Amino acid sequence: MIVQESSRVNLALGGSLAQRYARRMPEPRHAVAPEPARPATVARIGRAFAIAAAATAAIVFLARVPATVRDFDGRATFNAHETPVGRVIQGADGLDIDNDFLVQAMTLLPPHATYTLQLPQSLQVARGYGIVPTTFHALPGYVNYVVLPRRSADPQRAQYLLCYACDTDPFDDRMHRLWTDPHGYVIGRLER
Amino acid sequence: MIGRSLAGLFAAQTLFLVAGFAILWALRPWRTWAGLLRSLGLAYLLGVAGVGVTASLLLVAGFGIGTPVVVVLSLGLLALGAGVARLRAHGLPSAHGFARPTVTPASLVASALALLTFIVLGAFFLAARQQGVVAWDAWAFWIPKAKAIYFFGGLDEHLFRTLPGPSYPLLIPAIQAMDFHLMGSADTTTLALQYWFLLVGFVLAGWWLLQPLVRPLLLWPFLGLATVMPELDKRLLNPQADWPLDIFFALAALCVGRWLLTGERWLLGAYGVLLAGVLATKREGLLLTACLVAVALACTWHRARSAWPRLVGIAALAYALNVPWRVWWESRGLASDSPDWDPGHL
Repeated sequence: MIVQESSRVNLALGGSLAQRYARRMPEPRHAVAPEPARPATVARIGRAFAIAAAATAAIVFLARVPATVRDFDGRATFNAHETPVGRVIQGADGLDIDNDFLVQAMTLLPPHATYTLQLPQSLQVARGYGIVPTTFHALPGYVNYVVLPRRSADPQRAQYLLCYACDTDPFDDRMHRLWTDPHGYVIGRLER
Repeated sequence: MIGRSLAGLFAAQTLFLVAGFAILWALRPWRTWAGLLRSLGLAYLLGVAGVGVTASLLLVAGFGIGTPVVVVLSLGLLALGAGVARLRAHGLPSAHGFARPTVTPASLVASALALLTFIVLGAFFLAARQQGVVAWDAWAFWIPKAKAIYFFGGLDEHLFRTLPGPSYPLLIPAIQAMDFHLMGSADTTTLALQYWFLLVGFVLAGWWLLQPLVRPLLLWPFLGLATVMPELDKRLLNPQADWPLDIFFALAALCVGRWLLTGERWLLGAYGVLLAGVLATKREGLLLTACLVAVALACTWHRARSAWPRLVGIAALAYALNVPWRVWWESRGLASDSPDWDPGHL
């Protein structure tokens, strides 16, 4: 039985590796079609190539380990020094979104409230407030990610206004300001 | 909260593992308990794929995937796997199978490389432990979809419509939403650990699939290399779908590759489950599946009559499991993410 299995695997794999590992393989349910034995030279070249590739991989692996572990350690240290809220809005730093604005939005809006996010009227106006295009374009998606399960809604139906340097005039007569910031950020509750 | 999240995430992985062992048990018997233990990596990833695909189908059918559903789903797969295993006379292992390893210079070097690999993975765990979400696609739609499934109890057509990539497959948001349920909150800073588990599963599964064919001394350098690839941490620590897709695809390819060499039929079952995972993870999975099937067909042209129906049939079945999601988003008029076939846009 073992001899049969071994020879079958040999046909499929060829060479000494198959002989070495054939005993550990489960019996195939159907016969593998016999293939002609590979010439010894081809097998030798294949073996040499495998050994060279593995040696190269081992050298690269060993060379990369210290830097990789250092990177992981640096990242772990950075994460450990962040506050829990800071970690939740970690992506905001790269997008240059004001952290206070996000924290206040998470704090002041009840879960399942609806909100409308209002931005400056144009990129040009935004630049006047020091808001770069990346921030401008990322704000709706990032705010949605941070404040879910609170849902974005039409300005007429929304319960809260999240104003990121927007023009508050259309909302002033029905808004109770909850938080304001000198940079032009406002969070307010809207009356319908 | 951190302890609760971590415990919940571990519980979720345990449920995936249980489901995966059941899938593997239905596919093949274990002769020894040591053999069962060695198959842990592949079992886990089969579980992630199996539970993820089933959860996607449940979501499309209008169900939520809260904690009771996840538990029932995993235990249901266990019962199903055990039932099939019984029908196929796959008993439990009869021997422990643990033996004193033979110590040779080659085995010592291979063990040292394996140990180093796990040291790297240990450092990776610490980095992933409290990782915030910084990748654009992750916060723009992958996690919002998962949060919506978690908070609103299922697929929210209105929210999906407002997100980029509304028609992307559901496996990743489903897995993340199940993690949230088990963690007890939408703790996005613990979610990176889910990807750490996937990487560990990949390394163990790759080792187990290849160890009958390749000497440990030749195998471990490549497995170790997989854990120190440049940018790996940045990619894996951002909860997106690319790496899970790659992991499922690579293992499906390994299953087919080993089947081509050994003819062990159970590998085709694993290939099918993993392909279903590939197709349920990202739309690019369709192209990867087509490439894998084409290569497998080319490699088996001399025995096409027996091999081709299996290879194509299993791939078709894996695709069929993902049709309901396509019907769902197309019936609701959600924007397709397929490439624009207008030559001007190529």
